[in-house]
Amino acid sequence: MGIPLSKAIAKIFGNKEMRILMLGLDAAGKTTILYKLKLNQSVTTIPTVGFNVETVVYKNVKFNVWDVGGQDKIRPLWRHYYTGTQGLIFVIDSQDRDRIDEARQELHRIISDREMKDCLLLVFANKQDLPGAMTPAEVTERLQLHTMRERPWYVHPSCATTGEGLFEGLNWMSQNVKSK
Amino acid sequence: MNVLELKACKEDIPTFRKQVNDHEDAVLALETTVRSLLKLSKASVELAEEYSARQIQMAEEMMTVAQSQRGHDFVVIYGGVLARDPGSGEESIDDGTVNTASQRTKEGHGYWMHDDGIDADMHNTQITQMFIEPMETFLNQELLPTKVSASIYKEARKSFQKASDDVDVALHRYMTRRTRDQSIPEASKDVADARKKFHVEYVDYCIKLNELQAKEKFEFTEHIVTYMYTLSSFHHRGFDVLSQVEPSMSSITENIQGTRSRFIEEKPIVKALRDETLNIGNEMYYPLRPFGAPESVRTHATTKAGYLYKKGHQRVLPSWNRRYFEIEGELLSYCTRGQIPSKTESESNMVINLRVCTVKVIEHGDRPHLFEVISPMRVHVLQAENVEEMKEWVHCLQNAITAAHNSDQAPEVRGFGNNNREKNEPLFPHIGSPNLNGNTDQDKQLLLQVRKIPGNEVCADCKSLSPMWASVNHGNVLCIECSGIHRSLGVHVSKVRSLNLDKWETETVGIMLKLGNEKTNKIFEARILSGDEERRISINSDRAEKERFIMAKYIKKEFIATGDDKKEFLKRSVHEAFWDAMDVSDFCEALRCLALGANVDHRNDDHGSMTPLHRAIVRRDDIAVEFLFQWFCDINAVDGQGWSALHHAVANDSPKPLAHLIKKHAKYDIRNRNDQTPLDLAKSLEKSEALIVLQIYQFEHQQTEQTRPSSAQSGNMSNSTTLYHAYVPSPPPSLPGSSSSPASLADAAGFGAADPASIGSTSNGILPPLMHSATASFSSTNSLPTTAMSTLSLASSVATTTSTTASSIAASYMTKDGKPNLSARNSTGTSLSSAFTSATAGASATPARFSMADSRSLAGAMASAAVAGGNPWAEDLETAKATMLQGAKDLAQDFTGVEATAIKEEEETA
Repeated sequence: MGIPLSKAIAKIFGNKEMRILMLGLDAAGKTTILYKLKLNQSVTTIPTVGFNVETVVYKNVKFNVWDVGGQDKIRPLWRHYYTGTQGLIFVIDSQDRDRIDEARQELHRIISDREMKDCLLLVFANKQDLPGAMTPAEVTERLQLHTMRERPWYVHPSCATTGEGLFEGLNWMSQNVKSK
Repeated sequence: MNVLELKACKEDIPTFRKQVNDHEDAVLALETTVRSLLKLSKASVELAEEYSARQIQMAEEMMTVAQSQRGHDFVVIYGGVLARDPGSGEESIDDGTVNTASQRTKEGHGYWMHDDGIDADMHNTQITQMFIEPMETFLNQELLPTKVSASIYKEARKSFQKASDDVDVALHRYMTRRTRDQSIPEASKDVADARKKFHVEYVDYCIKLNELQAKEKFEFTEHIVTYMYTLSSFHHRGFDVLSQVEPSMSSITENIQGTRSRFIEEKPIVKALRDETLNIGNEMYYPLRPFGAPESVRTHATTKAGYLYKKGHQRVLPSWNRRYFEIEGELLSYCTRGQIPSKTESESNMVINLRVCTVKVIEHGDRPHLFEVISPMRVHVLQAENVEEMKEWVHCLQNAITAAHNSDQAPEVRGFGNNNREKNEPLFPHIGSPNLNGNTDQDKQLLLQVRKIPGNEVCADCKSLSPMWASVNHGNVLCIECSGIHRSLGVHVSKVRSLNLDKWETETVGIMLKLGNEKTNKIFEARILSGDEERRISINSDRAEKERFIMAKYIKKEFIATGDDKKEFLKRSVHEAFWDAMDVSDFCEALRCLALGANVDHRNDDHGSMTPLHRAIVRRDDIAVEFLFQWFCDINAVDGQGWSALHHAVANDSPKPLAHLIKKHAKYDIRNRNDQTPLDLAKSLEKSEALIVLQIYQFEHQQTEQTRPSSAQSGNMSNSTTLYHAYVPSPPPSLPGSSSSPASLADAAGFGAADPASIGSTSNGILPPLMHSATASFSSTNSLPTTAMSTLSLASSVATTTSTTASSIAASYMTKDGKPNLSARNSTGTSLSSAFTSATAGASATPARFSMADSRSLAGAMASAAVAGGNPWAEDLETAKATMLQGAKDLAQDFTGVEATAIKEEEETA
């Protein structure tokens, strides 16, 4: 009876809980985003071997953010984190034009999975501070998001080191999440 | 006792009478003896039966012990109970450690014991048969008739007595007659009769007594002797049995000696251990180590086992249970004290795969020394006894996780998510394809070589040991921390890859092999190496210091030797130097020039204004091409003849650069001085494979341009209210095919991606790699036309393999003859002709013509071509076959029309 009770309390007090999976190619800035959200400070990171998970509370919504490493060989492990995911944050290194096609392939592979069919898609066009960064429109186009009609998606420019755009993204997530 | 003299019966003298009486007494005594003998022997048989039953039990028990002792390591002593046992009169001692031979001995002994028991049983039966039964018969048949059985014996005796009395009476009557009594003769006759009768009876009686006497001598004694023989043979057998056991008994005795001496030897050691235990200070037992105790935390171990407290998963009042945890490889298993942990994940949910886990210390928990192991499904909160234990657990778990990620095994974790799915369909169609998933063995070997390059044994920046990360554009290797700093600089400065967690292209590994820490540091740390600059960092430097150093080294380039630059570059500019270095594939010098600011796209006027990229393609140096890509060369730059890199790649049959250029979206419509696009060039040079790839590439690009939203929609991006770059679906989806067909798209994508490989095995031109890269880049675009396009490319390639390069034939229609030989096409048969159709389409139709043919008919072409090529995938498309065949016909008709106009146009231009 523990779970229904806590859900009832959550309903009364308007607390929502969301399981968020944050994926993207290696060096896209996932871990930096996670800790910027969690600690509101720009931490220096090392490549994530494995994953990090933190709880971020924003506007009465408890975001359980799972940040999984993005190296080629550990991408097949991503699917083990799909179950129960309500929102996918896909982080793009907006400066790395060479690998945007690779990112597109990975993204479409993730969202075509059965377990991810109901989840929201938030794309952070990250590293907007770097020279030659792709605009969100360009990212949208290169990721071919216009072909995606079956789920809500949102591309937002961000800069993980300054934190710009991150909470706007979470805001969109919390507004669009289906109440269960 | 003498035999009764039968003759004496007549006289019946008192001594004879006495003899007869004695005989009678003897018979009575014999009877009593036999009776008591019988009683005793019966009793002893009963006891013997019990005894042998017990002994069989004991033998069985010993066998059980012997069997259970196998492999156990302690001494068993059978007690003195056995010592009194005639069947097993030795102490059976066995040392389980000695050998199995002695085990066998003991077991054998058990068997002998068993046999003995059975023997004893047999002995008892024998006694019963040979002694008791005859005795009873003897008693009943011989003695009883004479005495006890009243009727016979008593009668004999009575009649004897009566006869005796009769004689006395007759005689008395006779003797008391008067002398002249008339009846004397009569009485005399009576006496004679009585006497006669008496005599007969008397003789009979005596014979009976004599018989008994004789029988006692042989029959009774004979039974006794038989009994003695039975006993003797029984004991003989027992002796035989035991003498067979004797050798093993003696070996057991030896073992006993050994065991005893060992026991004596061990005694002091055991005592010492006990004393040690006694002397251990109490403080060792504190779960919380006293302050100041030496901290012994193993930080590099990957295995650990021990008890931890585990928090239950209840939300309300969770329970805490003590569990035994063990890290083994990439698995963490736990169990209660009584359980044996199961080592395979599938067996229980008490095994956690660490590959998908992370471990964290809980700083402010409600209990001390808490840490958590987080798996995608569950959070396991664990509690250690003290800080040191907790630290060690966390370190070991982290090491095990890292080791699991770095291991070469396929990263397959089971036991999570939907198991059915794992059985039915591979989640990622590319798994198993070495080019897309991991590194091929060859590349792995190359990466091993990279690590062996001089200087690569330590991090290029902080010099810490065994670096596993690399900056690809600099060609040096780094530790994970420095790689983190490199990544933060952006890909325009440094491109970081993992040596073991990323997949590598052969060419990229080639760059790594050409450079290396020693060479790059000669460039980027020249001033440090020459002693002009003191700054350097070590593994112990803090993060900020490292960041400052790395930025100074790679962005500000403060440590590059600049002293002689002016002189060096008087004769030729740094750009020329770079061009020349690239021309001879001297990456080291090229990198130095780049560091000094060389233009990566410098045009060499001595070589037709070619950029290094053009030159590298012409020289077919794929590694140099890759190196230039890494340094962001302009892929669309043109040389003096107006040729772009794509033109050169087409002209030089360079499949890899061509594929890479396409992957990087090089412009396909650059026209050279002769007004040729790369496609035109491919046509004129009859590069059929390049032609097909470019066709597909162009078509794909035009499709994406068509699907691109109109400019009116793309408003101000940062204004989130317009939400151009967002989409919330409104049910139901309006576009047919966009939402309903992800599965079929995935199928088709898989189809496109999977098949070039199979074609590659049958055809040996440059087509397969090209096709592969092209289709791979298109395969997952998830737009219907693109899918159709990629499958069309497949159709073309199928046609190529089945009908002697149909595409080149098709190309020759258009370019050489000037008009298509339609009759030739018709003669090739229905199925093949459709393959031709698609091949011709691929070879000659311009993108504009393609856009005329709708995607449905393209799919049709694909299907029919697949059928023509005998492609197994065609079966999957069985359901859609009818519409697709129709589509193929449509396409053929469309195409004929299109072709006609095309021919017209060409004739006009000619």
